[in-house]
Amino acid sequence: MTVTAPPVPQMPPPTQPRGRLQRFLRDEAWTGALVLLFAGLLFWQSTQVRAWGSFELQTLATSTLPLVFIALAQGVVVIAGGIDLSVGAQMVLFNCVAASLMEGAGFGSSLALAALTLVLGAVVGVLTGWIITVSGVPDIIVTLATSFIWLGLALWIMPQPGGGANPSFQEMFVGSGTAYWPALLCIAVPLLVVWVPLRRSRIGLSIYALGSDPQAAFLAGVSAPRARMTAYALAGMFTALAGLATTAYTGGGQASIAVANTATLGSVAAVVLGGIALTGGVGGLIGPVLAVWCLFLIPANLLSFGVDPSYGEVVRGVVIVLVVLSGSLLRRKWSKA
Amino acid sequence: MAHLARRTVTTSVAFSLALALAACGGSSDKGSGGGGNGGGDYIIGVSNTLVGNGWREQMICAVKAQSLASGKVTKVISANRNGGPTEQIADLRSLISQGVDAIVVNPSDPTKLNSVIEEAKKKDIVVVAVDSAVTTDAAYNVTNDQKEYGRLGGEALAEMLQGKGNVVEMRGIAGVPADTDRHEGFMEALGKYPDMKVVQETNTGWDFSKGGQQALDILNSAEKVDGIWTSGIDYTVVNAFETLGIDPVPVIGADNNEFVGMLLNDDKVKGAAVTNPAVIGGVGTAIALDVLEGKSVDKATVLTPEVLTKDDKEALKANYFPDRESTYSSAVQVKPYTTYTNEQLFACKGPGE
Repeated sequence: MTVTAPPVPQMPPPTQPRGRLQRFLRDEAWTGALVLLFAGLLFWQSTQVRAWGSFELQTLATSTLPLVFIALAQGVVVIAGGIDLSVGAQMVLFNCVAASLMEGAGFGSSLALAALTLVLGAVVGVLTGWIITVSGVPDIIVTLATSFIWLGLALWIMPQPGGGANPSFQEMFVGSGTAYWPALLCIAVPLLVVWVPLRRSRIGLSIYALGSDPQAAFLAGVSAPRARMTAYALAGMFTALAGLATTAYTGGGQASIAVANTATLGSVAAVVLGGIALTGGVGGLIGPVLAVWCLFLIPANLLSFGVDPSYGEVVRGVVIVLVVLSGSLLRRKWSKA
Repeated sequence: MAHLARRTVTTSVAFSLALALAACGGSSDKGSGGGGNGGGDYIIGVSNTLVGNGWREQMICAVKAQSLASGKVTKVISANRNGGPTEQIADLRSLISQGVDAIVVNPSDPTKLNSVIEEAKKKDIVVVAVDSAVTTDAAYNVTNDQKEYGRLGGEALAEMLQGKGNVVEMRGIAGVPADTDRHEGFMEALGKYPDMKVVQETNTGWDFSKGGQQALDILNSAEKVDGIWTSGIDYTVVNAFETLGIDPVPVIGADNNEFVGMLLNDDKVKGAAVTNPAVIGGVGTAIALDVLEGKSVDKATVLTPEVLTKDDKEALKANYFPDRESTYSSAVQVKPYTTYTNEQLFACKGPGE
């Protein structure tokens, strides 16, 4: 075996940061830039609104809560190398399930029903991952198909808008008065309790490995089905949280196809803007949260200028394109450097 | 290290550029909201969650036109996007933050907006729900009487057919309250005429091409049809007769511009138009301004539809605009509420635009 392999290009030192600070800067540059963008938008809003304060923060935190959870769900799946077109449909399904079950229920039983919804979310996720694994059909096709199933089920459970929610349960998500921290807590708790430990664990690493290179992951002994099903199960729990947040926010349920589609598209936009590579294996879950907030603030801030809302959408789209474009150009430069 | 820091800076610069772009065009307009009460410089907010629908766009134009014509409004802020109650609650909250004095809202749900509307009332913001009603006492409701829409159309049809014959009922979308109410009204009218039979019932989905196709199918079938009642899908139904080369039977439609034009100009076309004014947004604005001025206003205002018949050429002429599109809701004034000119409505510009 004396075949001379072509010379392997040496990785130049700058892409192999040695110091902790260097690594941190490299890994968190995107998130840092998002923080700046978000802070800028927030400051801009505070200059527009006369008595800017907790009411506006509550608007931001509570209105975006369902979309934040949807973006987290999409984020986990995309990190694992897939894409889930059914996240919006799942949210609508769990919204209808929770709202129909919780009508007239007390606080205690509402919590039990919420837990049940989370379990259902995990089951739906495992099922999705299982179908993808067994069929070998790409995620995008399978989840497009399942999205119709979930929407159909939602319509079957709730043909007309209705249902209800326990007021204390609602407050748990949206806060009472102008309290904005309950909504923030609702995001922080699942991230800290589930995502952070998972990301450091073996199964969490295998999710990243599957996303960055399925072949290499297989050779390294990663069980692709297990990693995929875990990712989808986690995503399902996040969509269940999105459904619960919608129930709490609106005090009822509605099987709306338009809402599902808008949410799904919003989740992809948030994931992309949040610094998760659609090719998989890159990114974290802080980015999508910040991205959802930014995407909410842009049209909201444009409102007062009498800008036609359709132009607001154009601005939103241009921001996504510019950010993603500059991001990918920078990434390409880094990998060549 | 320096290398890396530079990249980080580059990324940040890229983001800042994006931000600057988003911000451009919007110089500081601080503090124009909120405080204007009393002097009559009000800010009106509009919330709508169905974009790209002609009727809804006209509703918003009417808000702008009435605000302009009143002379009491400095600015109309419109929160207009596709969505459900979740999005609409967020929009209403954003409008509250913008310091509006009144909000005209076409509600996406009768109950789910209640708490945010009550929140607005606490901040002395007048909320008027138009088109469909909300259940909270904190809001004023302005609605078109949909049951009466069905009943008046049914009566007009029965009159034209002298109380007997086979009729087709072309409904809208099953399960939508307006459709249910119109159906009830229509059946109530027919109840008085035992010789009138509904031989076909369809759901058009309020889709003009779909309704026209259904009319073709029905006319091609063996069934004898003496008259057609529609829930607003009218001119494509008339066109179906033309396609088949047969004389139209009486058709009851809505105030769609094209249909009104047919009634006015085409002698072969028989029927009547029942109004369902999109300018209800202007009515809502007028009511909101009355409340802001301290006048006493009923919590619920119900607009009774008008029937435009073939004999009333004057009324048809007043409600036909050859320059507007086919589906334009041609009942452009609801007196005594609306005070704008038709040109102001067509221009669709609010104060300061």
